[in-house]
Amino acid sequence: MMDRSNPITHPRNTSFDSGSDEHSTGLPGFKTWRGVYYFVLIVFVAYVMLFKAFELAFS
Amino acid sequence: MNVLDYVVLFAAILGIAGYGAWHTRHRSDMAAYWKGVGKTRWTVIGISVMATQASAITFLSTPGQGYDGGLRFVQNYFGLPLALIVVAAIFLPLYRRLNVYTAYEFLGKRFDGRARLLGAALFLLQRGLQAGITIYAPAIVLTTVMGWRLDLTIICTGLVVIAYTVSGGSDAVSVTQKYQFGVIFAGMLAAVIVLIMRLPDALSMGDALRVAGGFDKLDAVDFRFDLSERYNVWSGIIGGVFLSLSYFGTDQSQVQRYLTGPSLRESRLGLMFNALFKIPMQFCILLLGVLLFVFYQFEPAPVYFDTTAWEQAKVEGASDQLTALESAYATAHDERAESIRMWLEAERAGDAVTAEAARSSALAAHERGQAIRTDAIAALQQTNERAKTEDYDYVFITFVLDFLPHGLIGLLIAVFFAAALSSLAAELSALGETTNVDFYRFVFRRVAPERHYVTSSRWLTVFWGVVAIGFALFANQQENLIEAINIVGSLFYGVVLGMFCVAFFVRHVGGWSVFWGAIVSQCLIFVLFFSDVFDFSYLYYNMIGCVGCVLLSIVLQFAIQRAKQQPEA
Repeated sequence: MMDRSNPITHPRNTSFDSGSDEHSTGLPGFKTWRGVYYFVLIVFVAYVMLFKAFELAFS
Repeated sequence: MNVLDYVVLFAAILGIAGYGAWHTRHRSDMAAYWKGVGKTRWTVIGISVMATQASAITFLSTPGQGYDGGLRFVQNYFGLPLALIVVAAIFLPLYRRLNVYTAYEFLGKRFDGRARLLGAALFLLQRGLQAGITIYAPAIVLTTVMGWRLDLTIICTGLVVIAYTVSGGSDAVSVTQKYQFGVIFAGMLAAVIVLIMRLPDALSMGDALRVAGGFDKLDAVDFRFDLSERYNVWSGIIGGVFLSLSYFGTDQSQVQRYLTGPSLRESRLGLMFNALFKIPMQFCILLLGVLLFVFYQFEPAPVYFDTTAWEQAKVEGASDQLTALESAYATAHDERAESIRMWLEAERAGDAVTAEAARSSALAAHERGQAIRTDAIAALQQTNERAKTEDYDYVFITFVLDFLPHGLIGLLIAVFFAAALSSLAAELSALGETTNVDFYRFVFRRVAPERHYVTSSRWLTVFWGVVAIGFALFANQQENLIEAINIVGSLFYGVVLGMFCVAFFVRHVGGWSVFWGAIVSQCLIFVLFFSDVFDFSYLYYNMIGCVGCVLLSIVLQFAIQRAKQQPEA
């Protein structure tokens, strides 16, 4: 069996930016997917803080 | 259960299954059978991904986790949003661009056939085992409390799933999951409403949460770093990222769900839906368990929630001992309830000293109750060696049967079955597809008409359905079902993820190195798991397997290159 990496299908050799829906999220207020990912991260941090606040409020 | 409950149960389960089979009855080519007809919206993808992960065990066992351990289990899901971002940003675009049916096809294109077969084999092994647990776990609990026959319940559940999954393929799974999740949402909401209405009149929601907090049931976030602690922020984020990355990025039962999207946008939004709503969903289910704990502070609770096993032990000769334990437990319960009432009254009056004294008294009564439970379980095991030391999987179902009105009981039983069917259907569909695409078509018959592969897919799905039923019929009980299913996954996921990480991020490593790196890492995980030398949370197996596979692959590749260079020198 061949023991060689396949340069054609390696992610670094493929463009992630082809296609219109790669760029456009179609969501109001979010022009790029990076913005969506940051939003998800911020919401996650907010969840953790809310859980801690909930714990402290009733301890 | 009465006639009304059975009508609700069968209408919900068979109606949805029948609709799924009818709606997707004309899928006759590979793309439509495995990827749908390209109309699946992100909401359906999001629900489908969520429903695949949330099996019956989630709804049976997680409230029990909340009842026993409080909210801390929610930390198990802290790695999930981060992992889903990585899957949406890196894994998904590549899968779509290469137009693969299975994740393991990607390994074949990046490395070679051997790596593809190993990845697919590891998936089939662990997912085949988990499919058995998925069908067995709810069946053992439901049949115990309902008095149904275990073997018939397992077989009937399996046959219903096989019928509509074989008929409509992946599209049928998505279509049915949408409605099954509707039943689940309605049922769980109804249970929460009834539970809140059943709390004592004098107990406000704030009081209930104060009681829960007083017993440390609301401790959701633990920042202490302790490797042996099963659930804290660090095991949740570090181990959870690897577990979720592997599950959502490389497990075909999930990859298949989001590849049904007609565009990258729809698939990504489906994943982001889960990144946002999975943690609150688990939090709410755990909170339901916490409220059950509060509820049973005022309502007499059984000493042991698997009351069938308890009554059986009484019949088998331990009646006097168990009755005495019941009496002692009831006394401790009454003392605890009275102390809690005094504690809340003192808090309302602003008397902090009396409130703290009453709370201490309640905690002491709780400890006495727990000690009696320990004695009760020991006595139970003297009569029945197979009796479980934990009975928390029976907490929610006991509440449902004892306190919900007829009609809602049927709806809640339908919730458990709908959840079992939705995740099992996705598992069987993925198992059938992987066996067909990565083994049958790749190894045995590379060229054949589309209809031939659809037919072979159908038979392979039947095969895996029969395997799952067979495994479920011979499975052994686990102490806590939701942990059991996560532990089995964690043993295999890390290594598979390691193979994909090498494929994505380490350019110079080839197929031979990643193959042997994965084999050695998997052996290492088994040694760690079966030896008692190391004591750490099972979540870390995901990280160890992944990092081990990546490092070994790099080292082996380096050794190969050195060996090749030496003769030339």
